[in-house]
Amino acid sequence: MTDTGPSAIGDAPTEPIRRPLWKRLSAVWIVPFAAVAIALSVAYQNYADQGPLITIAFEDASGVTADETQLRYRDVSVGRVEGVAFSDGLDKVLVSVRLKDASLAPFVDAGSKFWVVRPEVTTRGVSGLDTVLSGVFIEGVWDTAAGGFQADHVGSVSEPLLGVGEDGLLFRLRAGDGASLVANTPILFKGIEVGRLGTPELTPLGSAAETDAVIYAPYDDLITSRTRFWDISGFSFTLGAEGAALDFSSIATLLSGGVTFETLVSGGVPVRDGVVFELYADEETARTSLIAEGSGPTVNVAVIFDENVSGLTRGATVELRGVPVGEVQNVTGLIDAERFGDQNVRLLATLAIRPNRMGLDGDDTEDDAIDFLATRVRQGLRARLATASLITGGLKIELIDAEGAPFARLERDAEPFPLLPSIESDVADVSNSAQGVLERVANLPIEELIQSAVVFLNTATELVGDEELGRVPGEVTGLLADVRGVVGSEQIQELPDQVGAVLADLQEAVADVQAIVSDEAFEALPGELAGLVEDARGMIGSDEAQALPARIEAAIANLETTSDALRGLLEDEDIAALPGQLTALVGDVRGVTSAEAFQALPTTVAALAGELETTAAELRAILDDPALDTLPGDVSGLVAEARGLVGSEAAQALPEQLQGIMTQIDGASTRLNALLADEAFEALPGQVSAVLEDVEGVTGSDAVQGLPEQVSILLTDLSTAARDFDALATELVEAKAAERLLAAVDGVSEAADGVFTSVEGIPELVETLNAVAETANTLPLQQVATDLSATLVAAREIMASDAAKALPGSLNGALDEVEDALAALREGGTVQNMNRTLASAADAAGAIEAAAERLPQLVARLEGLAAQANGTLAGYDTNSEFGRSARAALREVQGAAKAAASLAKALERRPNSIILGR
Amino acid sequence: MVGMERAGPEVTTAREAGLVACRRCAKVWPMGTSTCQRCGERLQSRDTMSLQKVWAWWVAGVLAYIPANLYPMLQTRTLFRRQEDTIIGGAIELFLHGSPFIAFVILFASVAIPVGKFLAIAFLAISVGRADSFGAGARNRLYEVVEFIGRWSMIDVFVVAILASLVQLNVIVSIAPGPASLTFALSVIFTMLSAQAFDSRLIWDKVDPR
Repeated sequence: MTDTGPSAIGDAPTEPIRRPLWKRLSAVWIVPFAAVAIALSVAYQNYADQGPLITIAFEDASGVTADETQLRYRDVSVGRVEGVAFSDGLDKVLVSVRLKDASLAPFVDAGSKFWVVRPEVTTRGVSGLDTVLSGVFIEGVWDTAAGGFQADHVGSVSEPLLGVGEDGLLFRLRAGDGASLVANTPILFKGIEVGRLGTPELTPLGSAAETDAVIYAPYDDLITSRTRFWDISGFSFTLGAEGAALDFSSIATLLSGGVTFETLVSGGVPVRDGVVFELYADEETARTSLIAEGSGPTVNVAVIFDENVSGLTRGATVELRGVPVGEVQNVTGLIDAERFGDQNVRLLATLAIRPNRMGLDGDDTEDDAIDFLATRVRQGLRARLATASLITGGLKIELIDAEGAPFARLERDAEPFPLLPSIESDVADVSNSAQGVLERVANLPIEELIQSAVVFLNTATELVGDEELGRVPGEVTGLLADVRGVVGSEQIQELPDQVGAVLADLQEAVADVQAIVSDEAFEALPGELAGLVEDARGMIGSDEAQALPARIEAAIANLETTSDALRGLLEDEDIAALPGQLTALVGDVRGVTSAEAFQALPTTVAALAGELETTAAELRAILDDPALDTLPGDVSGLVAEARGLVGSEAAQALPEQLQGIMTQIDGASTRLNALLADEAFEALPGQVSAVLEDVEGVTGSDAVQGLPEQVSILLTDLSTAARDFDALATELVEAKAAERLLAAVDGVSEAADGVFTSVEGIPELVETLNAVAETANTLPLQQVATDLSATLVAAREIMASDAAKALPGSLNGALDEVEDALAALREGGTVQNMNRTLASAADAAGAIEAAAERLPQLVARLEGLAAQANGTLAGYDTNSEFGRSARAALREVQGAAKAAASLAKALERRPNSIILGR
Repeated sequence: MVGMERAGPEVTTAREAGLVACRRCAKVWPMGTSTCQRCGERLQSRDTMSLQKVWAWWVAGVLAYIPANLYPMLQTRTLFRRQEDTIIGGAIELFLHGSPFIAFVILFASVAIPVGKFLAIAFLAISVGRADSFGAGARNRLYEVVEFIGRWSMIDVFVVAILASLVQLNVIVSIAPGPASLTFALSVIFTMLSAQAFDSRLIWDKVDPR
């Protein structure tokens, strides 16, 4: 290019000139070099600035795309996914994320959390909507303290409850009976959302549902150990005595559910992260649980029961010696062939036990409580099922000290909770015995008993109301009045005077006798008497006479026995019945005394006394007779004769014979004893009683009633006789009675002689007596007694032939039986039980009555409610404004939803349709 | 070839006539005149730096073309997805979606033409010093074609710019130019400058037998 031109044209400017390199280079070269420099610098900058690579392991990484999905922190992209791969076992998705900024690295420490944000439509609303447009992204959370870079992380399934820069209390909620856990449910406090629930999950073994929950700061200060959570989702409709109530917190909670809480009791202590609260179904349950639970932590233990008995439910009480110490948290079936060797279903109950209920200090830890239980189990503590309610068949769990139970221990390491050993329950026994008790109660002859009681009471009423009985006191009073009348009569009042006169006469007579006694002949009398006494002493001093006392003693002993037997007889119940019969007898006697003849008695007696006085006077006259003076001498002679008689051989033999008689008497008394002890004799009192009854009948008979009259006649006769006697005495005086007396004494003396001679015959007499006694002894007394008894029985039977007379006895017997029956009942406590039962029944009846009274009100309220409901429903009439508006609104919403759905569907199918217009 | 044979012996170049033509207003001046008296353009019979400039711009253009193909040309965010397409990736995707013609157009305009330009300029710059095989007339025509096409090479960038400004439905779909669009534009510009820097008179210098 430069070789031809210049040579031809000479110094043409086109002539190449050798210039330095930098002058020969075009300035344009700067451009590519600058481009390269820029590219290199940018490359270096990129390399230098690029953050470290972190690897996040996700269970599910749907929507995560390499080079596209972002890692965001506080909604700012801080990294980008570089690769999506599987872990070695293909069980996880490993997402490699390149942090954009190396300066972030120190903050991505072990506490960082990552989760995939996806669009989510829940009842609470739509979240992650931006990911609809931008695609999913990975959200990362780490605190503001640099903790050293960590490359490997495990991603969370869902968003953590505490987001970036949020502070609060993290705890767990366990669903109680009837409460349900719904993910992301807000926790409201006085209508303000102060926290929310996480995703519920089942505990291992599926015994409960739990979820993480958070209360955001500063509201976390509201939570103490006494706080109770309950479910306010949905609505509650209650129909009670107070009327109907429809209750829901808000439309939002109606749709999305909600949980609220209240610190119902002060005094709770602040709680730390990780504490477990129970979620109750409603506020009432929560409140009652607080009262029932008291406070304090619970210790969970498990029990396996061999029996598979129905009736054990959640919430059943756990009792230790009758004191509730906890409750059943969960009941599940358990089949463990390896452990038990069979395929039987066993009952696995999870118990929540409150250590402070067992007397442990509230400060004790869970381990202390487990230690306590373990010690008690070594000492024999076992769990068993027991019947809580006979009616419902509900069961409870008793912790009892089982004696003689095989050794067992608390299995601390058992899963999920320490395992408490159990023993066989007594559920079956209880139901059986209860059934037995009920059957026995049902079999009790209550109706018969009541009937008998009614009959008895009727009879008693009749008896008490009987006119005869009512008259008894009156009659007794009348009797006394009559007696007083008799005593107060003039004749009786005069009696003392007459008696005094009699005594005066007697005194004079005595004086006469004294005169007689002071006679000489009488002087000899003592000597004779002394001799008589001597003879008598000799007679008494004989061996036979000496043996007499012993015999008498024996006889007395026999008599004692007899008296004992008699006492026994007297204690006989029939004797007890005697007074009653005596009363009747008194009535009859009174009838006798009240008879006119009886009333006349005093007069008769007075007349008698007068006669006696006269007679006494006569006697005195007789005594005054001089003929009497010779009497002592005669008497002395008589005594001498008597002495001779006593001293006779026959008299000497008398003691022996007497002894024989005593022996006979002894034997007779022994036999009498035996007789008294005889059964037949035992029946005697009863028969005597019966006889008395008969006597009563007899006394009541007209003949007895007529007795006084006869007595009166008799007394009149006596009076007449006395008068005759008086006349006789007068005659005696007139006929020189003294002489006659003397003669009489002579006669006596002669008679004494006669006696003397006849004494010779006394031994024979005694022999005869002895023989009689023997005969008496050998008499079949027992037979007689039996015959007597039989006779009495027969007599009684005759008397009993009258049905009316038999009635009292029968009544008596019946009463005895009733009394026996009542005593038996009293011993059995049945009456008390029956009383209680009746009282309970009365209470129940009262309750039912009260309930029945309220029933009309309830019905009225129900009617009112129905009317209201009717009105409300009428308000929804198709033609009403509201109905129209609502329907229109619904239709619009429906249309909008349809449109949105179709749009979404179309866009999903063809994302580029918007661009391409198809 | 034809031109060369046809014009060959009779043609006298301005340089041979001791003249230098103004490249702006085409007035010829005697050799040695430094500036055009009529329009003030600096006069130079042959641009000695021409090939250097060509190669410098060419290198810059190629350098810029590399990221233009590596980085996404278009960022498309639709309701459900966000898409970044490179030139070739977008073409392939369009082809797969059943639009082979559009794919072909894109490939032609964004790949075939720029690459063809690079090759053509390189060929011209290399072959300018040799008087062989390819006829000078053909090479001159090639140069003219390259120059002509150069101004249309920006059509890709225009499409991106128009799309980005038109399709801005915010939430539902939006399109933004990617980094490749910038480098692609740079590449086109550099290529155009490269072609412009080429002094086509040099083609004929070698053809001249004298």
